[in-house]
Amino acid sequence: MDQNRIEKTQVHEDKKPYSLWDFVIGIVLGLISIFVIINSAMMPTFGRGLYSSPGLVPLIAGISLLSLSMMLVFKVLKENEISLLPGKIVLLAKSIETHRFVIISLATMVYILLLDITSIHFIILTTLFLLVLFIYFKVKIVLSTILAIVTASVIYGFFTQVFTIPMP
Amino acid sequence: MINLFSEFSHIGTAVSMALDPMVLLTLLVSVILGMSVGVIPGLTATMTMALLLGLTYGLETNLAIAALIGVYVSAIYAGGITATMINIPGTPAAAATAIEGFELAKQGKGKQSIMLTTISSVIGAFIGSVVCYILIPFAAYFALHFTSWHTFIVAVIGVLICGSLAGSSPLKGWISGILGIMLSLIGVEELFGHPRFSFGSCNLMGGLGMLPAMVGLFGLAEVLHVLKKEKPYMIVSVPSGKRFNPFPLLKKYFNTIIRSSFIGMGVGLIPGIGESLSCWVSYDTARRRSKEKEKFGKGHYEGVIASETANNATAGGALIPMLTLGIPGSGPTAILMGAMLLHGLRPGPLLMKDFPGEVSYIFLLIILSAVFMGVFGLVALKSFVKLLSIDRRILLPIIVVFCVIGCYGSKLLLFDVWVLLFFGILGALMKANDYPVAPMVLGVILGMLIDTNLRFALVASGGSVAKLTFDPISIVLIIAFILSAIYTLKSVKKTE
Repeated sequence: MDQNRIEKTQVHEDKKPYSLWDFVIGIVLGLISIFVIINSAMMPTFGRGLYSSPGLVPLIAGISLLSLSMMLVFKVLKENEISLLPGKIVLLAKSIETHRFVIISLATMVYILLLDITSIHFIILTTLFLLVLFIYFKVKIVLSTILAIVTASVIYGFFTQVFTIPMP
Repeated sequence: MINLFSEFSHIGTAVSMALDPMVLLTLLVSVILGMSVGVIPGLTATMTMALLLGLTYGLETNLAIAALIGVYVSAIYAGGITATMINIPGTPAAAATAIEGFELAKQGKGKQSIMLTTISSVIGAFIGSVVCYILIPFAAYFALHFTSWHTFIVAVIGVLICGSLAGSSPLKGWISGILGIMLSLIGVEELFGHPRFSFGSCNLMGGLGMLPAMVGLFGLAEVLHVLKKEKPYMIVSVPSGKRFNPFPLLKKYFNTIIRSSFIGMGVGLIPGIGESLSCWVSYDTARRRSKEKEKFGKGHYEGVIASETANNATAGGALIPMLTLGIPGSGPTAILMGAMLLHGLRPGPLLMKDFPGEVSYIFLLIILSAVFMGVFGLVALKSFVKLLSIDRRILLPIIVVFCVIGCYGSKLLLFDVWVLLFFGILGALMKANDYPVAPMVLGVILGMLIDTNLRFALVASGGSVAKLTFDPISIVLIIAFILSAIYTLKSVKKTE
């Protein structure tokens, strides 16, 4: 993807109320709605009419979402040039914000996963999680360590002693 | 027929019960506890009251009720503090406060906004309790005649709000709201126990849950959205040179305060809805009726006042169906009803006959809790602002841990924490693409209400909508729906 095309995508995006991502979102939501409509239509009616079927409200919601996502797609097509979409994907992949978003999300995911599947003590795991994030955000190492240990211990003490909640 | 007016003659007994030093001390401690947990995202008033229920079992009946009421009233108020300072509502009841409160905090007016939050909450709780107490006989009649069909119409009016919460793009607001409704329908439905979209997973059969959705969309999503930036925003207090006087603003928005109090009470009266919805209805009504519409969404005190007055006024309304009919109007009142039953008090029409003065005592406790909450809130105002203004790189990772524990603690299920992560990432992606998360939270709240109440009403009427429509409450609600729809479509045309 040449630099000019990427810049053109950026300028193009800044001006529009609906971006090229809305096109992708509209298509994905449209497909989800179709799935919901088909599934809802197949749900049992328990010997009464459609009005009692568990599929009634999902069916109405599915049709509403399908109509709204189609409106979204048409609005994007009216205002944007779809051929610029690959340029937007390159821009997104190169963005520092995306990298930071992925790293923080992954750190949280690993923290939850370790809480779920291992028996590592809550205080140790939470201290490590906080320490990793503090250091990543360039907080001073001594302050990070003290804050991580104190926070994890206080949260553990508060929830187990005051609320008697068994921690994961 | 029980004479509901007879309760008024026992107010003297109730006053002497409420002014007992032990009751006042219990109330003070529980207000401080409620405020402490209310500021933690994920710890709701319902959850705190449920956890406290076991501890109050050994207490005298009057003290146990005082402890739970103190937590109920103060936790709902305290949720507005984090909503203002970090854009993460401590409780679902404060979700609408975040819209204007956080914008004000970013402008350096966090302290002023929290001061108004405190005063509005006290006024809301006071008006809600006094008016509902006076109106007990009539409110009980209204609550008794409110059917599933009426609840359904109210919930559909709530869906209309989704578009107006989206600012410049109502289409994105409705997409967000409908998606929220669809996500709330996952799991076993309430009428026939049929599993929907659960793909054989036991966890999904239990549904995605409102709490992980709310904490994920407002809490974790905000953390991811802010921390992905190399230089996250800072909250800096802007000295205005003179002491902030909230009274001219309260005078200016007097009508909003009164209207929001009545909206809060009205929504509270409807069984099963509660303060999570009243803040949205009140905020949206204030925005529509305001003479300064253009200021909404950019940090407007009127929005904060509307949301906070209504959510605290809901407490009084929600207590009416519980105390007079034995039907809890919201999560916290269901816990309170459980506590009363544990202590031998049976809420319902006979409560006022068997335990004269008890209903008056409960309403007095709400008023006293509001007074304690106001005093403590104003005293601790500076500390709250200072604590929640610390560097986002330090505060927000700690908030992630609170979000995780808050969601886990509600059912002790780690599945809820995965749901939190799902909604967190979804919310951050929505924010990045200018899709508002507030309508999705509203959709999650309304989805199950719409589904269960619509089908319950239709099954009861044999599928006849005509049979359901021709009663006075339905006609009033349908007119309200039509007027809201016309107004919404007009505003959409204007916006787009």
